[in-house]
Amino acid sequence: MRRLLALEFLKLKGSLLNVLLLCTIFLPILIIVIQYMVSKDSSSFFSVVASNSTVISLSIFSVIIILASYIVAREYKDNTITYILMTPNSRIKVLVSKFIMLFISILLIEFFTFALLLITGYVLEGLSISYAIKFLEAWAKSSVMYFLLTSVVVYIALVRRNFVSSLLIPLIALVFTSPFMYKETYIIFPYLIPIVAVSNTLGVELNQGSSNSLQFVILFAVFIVFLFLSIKKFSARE
Amino acid sequence: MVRMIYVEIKKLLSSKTLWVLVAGALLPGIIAWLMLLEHHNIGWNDYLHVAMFIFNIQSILTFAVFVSYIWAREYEENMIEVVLCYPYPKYYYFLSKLVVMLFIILCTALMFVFGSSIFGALFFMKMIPLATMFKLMKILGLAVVMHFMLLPFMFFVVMITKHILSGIVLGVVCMVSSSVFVFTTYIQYIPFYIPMVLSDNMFGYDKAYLSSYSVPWYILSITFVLSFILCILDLRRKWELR
Repeated sequence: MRRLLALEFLKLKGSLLNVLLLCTIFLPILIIVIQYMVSKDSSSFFSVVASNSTVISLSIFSVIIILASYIVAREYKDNTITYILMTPNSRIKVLVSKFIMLFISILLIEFFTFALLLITGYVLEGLSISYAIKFLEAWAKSSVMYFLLTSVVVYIALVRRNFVSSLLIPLIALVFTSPFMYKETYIIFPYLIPIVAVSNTLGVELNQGSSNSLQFVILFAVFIVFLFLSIKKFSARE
Repeated sequence: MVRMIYVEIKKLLSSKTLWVLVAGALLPGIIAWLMLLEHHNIGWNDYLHVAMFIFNIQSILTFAVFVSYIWAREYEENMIEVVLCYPYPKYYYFLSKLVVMLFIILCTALMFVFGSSIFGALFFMKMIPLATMFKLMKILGLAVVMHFMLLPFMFFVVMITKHILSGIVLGVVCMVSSSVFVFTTYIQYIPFYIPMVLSDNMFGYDKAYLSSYSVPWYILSITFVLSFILCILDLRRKWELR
């Protein structure tokens, strides 16, 4: 399993996605710093971050969708799936290694984003312990929530076997239905849950539609269903 | 040239990416309908303003996806060598794709009018007044021109990267960051948000700040001309080296 995981990271190394991952981390922070600099009212840096948490969440989730569809669809595009399935590893192990790699990537992306925001805030205004705790909570919560949604993207990629279409379906769904995060009915779109949860954790309540536990239950159910479907699809002999 | 446009349209019609167009055209009407469901004292103008606001933001991604798709698919599906075998000037490929994009924008706009009228009629339980329809068509006509003027820049980004992902990322970044800039004064100077700002003002609202009507048009024109020239120069440089 460790070898498979190392292989996954090795495949990611040197691809265009690394540049994209860096952009995702730095671009929202840059935009927020610009907004903080040019804002006429005397709002603090951390309140600017909190009010723009949806931008951070949307950009991070977009790159997670791209990453998840890329690591599955490239096996079919480059025809490496044949060689992977020839190795003495079970198909479930191959799929699980991809999920673990995604989880580690999400943890790192989120960690660097929140750490950089905290450092920027420290440089501009000094350290705020209460915001550091809020960021830590938002990091842990959103990392788990985003990971629970990756099974949907992986399943779409396994069905479509094409990078562009497996990327566009969840991305368009996310971006086009994102205005619903301001409505209490957002819960019918599970991919909006992490965005609302992060925003609420940072102190800007987009809405009070549902409790934390209900959000996790819905996401966990989505994860289990699509994980089962993904395993079934990947294990099917063709 | 006509033959090339015909080929481009045929290639496009065979793809499932057209569903993005349907989503980009119909969703603004549905979202506006659902967002205003709890509000009672609003008229057609308010409804269409919200729908148009969403349409202009979503169109950044919709058209970025199409531009990326119709340019980068030649590289992704290894068709570029076949395409270059035909005895046409190289810039014809770019121009034909630009014309096809104009058709796509027009189709999206027409479907948006149709969708918004239907969902608006369901919302108000009456047909759209003729004067409001003409006003919407006039604003949308200008929005079509504005979105078209942004296309060469998107083409240029995809041209230099030769990857479909770059155009999609550009669309997502512009669309997502719009919420950061929307209430600032300098939104009127960012080319991708100009259709949103001008449409907002033409509907008679001032949600997006606009100090002068002509400056955004100058910015759009400069963006169009510069990126168009850059595209042609890039095509000449790349294909002369081949």
